[in-house]
Amino acid sequence: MFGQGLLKGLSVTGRRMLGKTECDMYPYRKRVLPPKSRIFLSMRATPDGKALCNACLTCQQGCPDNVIRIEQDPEDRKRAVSFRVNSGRCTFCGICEENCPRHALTFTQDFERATFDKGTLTYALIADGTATGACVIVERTEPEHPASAEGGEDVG
Amino acid sequence: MTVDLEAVAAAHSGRVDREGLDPAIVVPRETWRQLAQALSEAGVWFSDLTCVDRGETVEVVAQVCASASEQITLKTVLPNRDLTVDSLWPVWPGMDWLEREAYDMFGVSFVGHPDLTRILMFDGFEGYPLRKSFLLETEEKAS
Amino acid sequence: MIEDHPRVGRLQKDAVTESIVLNMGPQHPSMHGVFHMQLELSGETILAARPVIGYLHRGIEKLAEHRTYAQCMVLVDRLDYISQYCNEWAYCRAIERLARIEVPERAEWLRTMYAELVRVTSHLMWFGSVGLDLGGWTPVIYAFIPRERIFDFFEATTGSRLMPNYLRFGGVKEDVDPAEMEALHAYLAKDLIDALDEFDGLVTGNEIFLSRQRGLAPMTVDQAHAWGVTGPMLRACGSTRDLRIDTPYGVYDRLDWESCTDTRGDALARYSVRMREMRESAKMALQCIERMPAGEVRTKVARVLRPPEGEVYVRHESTRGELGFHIVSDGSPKPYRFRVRSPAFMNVSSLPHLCAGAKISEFFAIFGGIDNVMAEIDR
Ligand code: SF4
Ligand code: SF4
Repeated sequence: MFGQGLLKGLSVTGRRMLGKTECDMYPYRKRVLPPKSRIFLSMRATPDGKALCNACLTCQQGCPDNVIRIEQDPEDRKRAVSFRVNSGRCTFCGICEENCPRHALTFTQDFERATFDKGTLTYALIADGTATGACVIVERTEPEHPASAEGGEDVG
Repeated sequence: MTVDLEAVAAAHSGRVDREGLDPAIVVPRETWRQLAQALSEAGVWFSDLTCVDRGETVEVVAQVCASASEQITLKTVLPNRDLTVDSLWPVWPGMDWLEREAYDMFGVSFVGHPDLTRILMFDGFEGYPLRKSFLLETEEKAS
Repeated sequence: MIEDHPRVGRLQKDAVTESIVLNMGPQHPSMHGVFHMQLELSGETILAARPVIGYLHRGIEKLAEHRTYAQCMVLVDRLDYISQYCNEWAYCRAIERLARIEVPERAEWLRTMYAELVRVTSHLMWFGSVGLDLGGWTPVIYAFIPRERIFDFFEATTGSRLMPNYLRFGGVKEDVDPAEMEALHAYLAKDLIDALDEFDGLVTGNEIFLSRQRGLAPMTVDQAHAWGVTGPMLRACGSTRDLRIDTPYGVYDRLDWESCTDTRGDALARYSVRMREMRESAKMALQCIERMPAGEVRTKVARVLRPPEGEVYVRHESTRGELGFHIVSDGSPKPYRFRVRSPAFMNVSSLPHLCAGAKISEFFAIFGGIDNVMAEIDR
């Protein structure tokens, strides 16, 4: 009979109308993203402001989009004086986090950083040799895992 | 169905290159279309056509399939000063856009193509972006 | 009398009919992405059509020549952002073949599972847009419910919903949490099938939909081969070409599934092939979860890979058809030539043939059946 399919479709929409809502009521209820979500880059640091980074530059050289700018301490090349992230260029690919031999880099799940000014998208993780407020505080000073086992030569 | 590559190559004054991962038939450009014609009559269908800039020369590379799992590469080498080759559009009409793209990106002219215009870049764009001599903005600054 | 009116009278006297050219897009509400179509119309009938593409050209092939092989993975994700895992897998297969890298067993199963899941999400997206093309808002909203659920799984396991950057040369980035896998299994076995049944009830039996799709834009196998059409569009003409069977990769030869074909070759056949493919893909993903062996997921590969000199072409069944990667290596850490044979590019090039003679209102019904992604066409 003509119209059967139409009626069936209507019954589907009818059932859905009475069923439960599928929406995320976003600004009223904020979603908690899974811990693996890659949103903004952050760094692990100890409570006394010591970042885990040892300025090996792996992340800066491996980043496809020149997001990371590191300045090494000229006296102690294992210490970063400044570590700046231009997140406006970042593609959230996770290459930097994966390759960091000290597991210093991590991603936060804070996604509410819309801004009217592109300049504010650049933020520092290390400034004047100390970790900034954008870092994630951890208790330990040594990496959890031994240095990444992938081996191979450095990016360059 | 399989194709006797050596025989096909010899009939079009080309040679078979088996050094790569897939066998390749390399022919001079004069027999480029005849080769495609002969293969097409043997039931071969095409998959892809592109170019590779080798500096002094530009290779036109076509990927064809003799059977569902048998893949052959066809190649012809064009000197940089004269980038013209016969179009394969009369053999496989689907080559239309592939050849337009190769023209757009490498400046290779396909003789006999019905509508050889730019496809991905806009009309009036100068240069051929995928040639090695076409520099990115960052490279230009560096050099 | 109407003829007395000066303007109308004059028009009637020397009126001649001539065809007009209508520009549709690139910014058209019912276009998929930035696609521009020049239609030559006689009244409402399309005499000729000329697609104009390139508005989303980002030069990915050129950019890739300036990045290391691992960094190119980021670009590969952005080719066809609706079936990311298929792209990554095809690219990985090309590099693995070139550099002769072995892939562990479990990684192959994981890759197959992700590729089939992404095929479901991609076809769901297409299902929604077909509804939109024909003027119905409901399918797109319904289709996004299961799509979001699968994306939640992607996000929880790979870190990103759309741009996972998850596959690596010689495996995948990391193993999947068994609890997530369990939850996904429960979802695929019941809720997804319920949702697909619901879509069938919503659209597949709808008489208006059927009468608009049946017999529209027919294509024969020979035409499809000549135009380079591949994937579900080709299988809808009766061809059995499916690279998952023809050139087995992953674990497809160990799964229990069949390739969906149809013999009618019209828009309805394309619809039906894709609808059935979703069920097959869900079935395959389920089998992957059930049978996946334990073990390593990644072989050790130098972080900066230098494949030996040579070139490789790999054909891969992406959700839209035959995706080809042609990589030329000169032994350096960056590809010498990075070429993508995009399936949607070839499928869209058949559009002028398909819509010649159709009515303008049918154009979108035809176009929807091609399932194009502009990002992949323009690259
Ligand atoms: S890779 Fe890690 S340790 Fe090295 S510079 Fe980057 S953040 Fe610091
Ligand atoms: S996520 Fe990717 S783009 Fe962003 S900083 Fe890390 S490596 Fe660079």
